[in-house]
Amino acid sequence: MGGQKQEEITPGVPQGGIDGVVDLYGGQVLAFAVNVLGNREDAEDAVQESFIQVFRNLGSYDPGRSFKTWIFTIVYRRCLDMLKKKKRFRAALEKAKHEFPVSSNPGPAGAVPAEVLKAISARERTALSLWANEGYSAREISGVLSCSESTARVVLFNARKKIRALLENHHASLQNS
Amino acid sequence: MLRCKIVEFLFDALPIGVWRAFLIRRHIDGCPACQKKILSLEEARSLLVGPLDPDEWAGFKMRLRSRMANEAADRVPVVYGKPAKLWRWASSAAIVLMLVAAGFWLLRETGKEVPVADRIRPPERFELDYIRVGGQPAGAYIYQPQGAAIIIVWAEKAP
Repeated sequence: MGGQKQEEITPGVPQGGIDGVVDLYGGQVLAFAVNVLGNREDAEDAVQESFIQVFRNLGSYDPGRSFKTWIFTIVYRRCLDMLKKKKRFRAALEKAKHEFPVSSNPGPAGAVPAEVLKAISARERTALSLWANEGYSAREISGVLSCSESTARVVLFNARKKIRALLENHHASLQNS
Repeated sequence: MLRCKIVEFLFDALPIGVWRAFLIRRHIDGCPACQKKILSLEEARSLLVGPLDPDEWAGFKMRLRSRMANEAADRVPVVYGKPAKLWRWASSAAIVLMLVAAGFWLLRETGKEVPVADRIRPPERFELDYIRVGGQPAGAYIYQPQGAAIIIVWAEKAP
């Protein structure tokens, strides 16, 4: 594949060209997309499209920026596009069930509780996923979300606060029943 | 505890990102009581799908690699890095040159000298109904030098 060649002349790209990039970040990026989209199938589509975009735009990558953050930014935008498309599709079919696309296939670990994650926006899910799984700071999250550091901090805080409140409500309702 | 309540009130009172971020940074991030009200890192990790093990996405990796290989085969090879930058510079320079040439041509067209003959055409007929000087009818003399394209009109107060 042409990946080897690109790796040689594009500074900042991990060893092994595009194959190396897939090996190194594929798992992380797929998990990230599952968390944002809540659905393994959609996440795989989004990640595939994202890697093709990465492959096509490798020449425009700025080596001054983190390569991982660049990939996550591309995946995040793809996920948003996919969510928008799905929203339009659902509206067209008049399926106004407020159905979060998670529940049908919750991913390999089965760890995404649909009712909790659907309560927060895709942006908040992104911030939460980057913070919890990748250990990103507010500054790094702001790079992916394309917003200021302050906004990223508030988005993450809101996500954590909302989910905590939901979990507490859930526990309380379980105890009452 | 009172401080936490004040911070909570201030957080809700002014919904401005910078202000809220300041409160989070200055108080909430370092306050154990406030941290209890938000999701901890461990809880967040337990809710989310974590980085996948290689065997969990082996099938997807195969599909992705074949898709990438197809993409590479369909693609006209593009050399990245310096040549791409050179192309960008070359196209920018070409655009600038075109703009300069267009500007030069426009200037030349608008700045062209109009022939004197086109500019001053002697009137075919010159007529004066009356002339007044200081509100009074005045005498008028019309003079055209021989061979010249100008006409001189001389007005004189009537005695």
